[in-house]
Amino acid sequence: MSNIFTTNGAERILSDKAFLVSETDEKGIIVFANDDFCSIADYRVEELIGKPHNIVRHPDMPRAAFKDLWDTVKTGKTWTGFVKNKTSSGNQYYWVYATVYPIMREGRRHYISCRRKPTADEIESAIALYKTL
Amino acid sequence: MFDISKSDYLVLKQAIQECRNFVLEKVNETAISPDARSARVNDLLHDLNQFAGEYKNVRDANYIQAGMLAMSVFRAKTGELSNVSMANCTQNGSGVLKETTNFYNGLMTRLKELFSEIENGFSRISHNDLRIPFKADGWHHDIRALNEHNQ
Repeated sequence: MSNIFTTNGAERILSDKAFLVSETDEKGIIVFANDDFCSIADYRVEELIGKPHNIVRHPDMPRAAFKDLWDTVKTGKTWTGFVKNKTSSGNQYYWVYATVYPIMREGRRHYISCRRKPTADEIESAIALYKTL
Repeated sequence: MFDISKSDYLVLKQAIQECRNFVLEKVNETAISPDARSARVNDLLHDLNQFAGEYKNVRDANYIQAGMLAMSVFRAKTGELSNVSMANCTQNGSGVLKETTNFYNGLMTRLKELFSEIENGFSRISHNDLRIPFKADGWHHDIRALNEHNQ
């Protein structure tokens, strides 16, 4: 059992200390992922590298949320928000509070995403908001 | 208290509590609305909301900095000695993280130089090119120092 999350039915709940980090290129292809991300999403790092980041996107997430994310980071700003992700099997999911920021890696724009645990109230609010999108 | 109504006092108290939860990272986001009846209390709520927004910028910068540092260290484990370039996202970051990053970048730079010297040394050995002696303070000196440090 991982020490960075607990399981409640189909939901994986991040621990307070969990810190998920990943980096993508300008097209959203994963170039690196840390242990916590691999652990909660049930992937090995080599399975994630080279794949689009939406490999963990849960179908419940509205497209508008990601449009807002991309529109924000492409202008060089930080995007923060709540995201529902799925695990590799697709049978489980986990919510994160994501902070995404564009960086320069060897002259090319990359994006780094850091995720932490959202509260139960924040998840409820996000679910309600996303239903309206 | 401060000649404000009880309802406004409770609104203000709740807003301060929300700020506390936000700073202590019990919540990820907060938005304080100026919902009081008193204009003065609303002015205070407006300030609190602005301060919370400023703090969010600092916290976001810290997250990104910590993330980049974590990513760079993780990369280093696989042998990729990349420096951390985060000049743009550290404007609001904490001093501790900036110092940590500076230290890390310095270490990576030195390690890269060291490995480059070692590679060059091995290359010369494999090509029987030892006409120029190794520098007295070259990589073997660093390795000896590391060894002595570990003993």
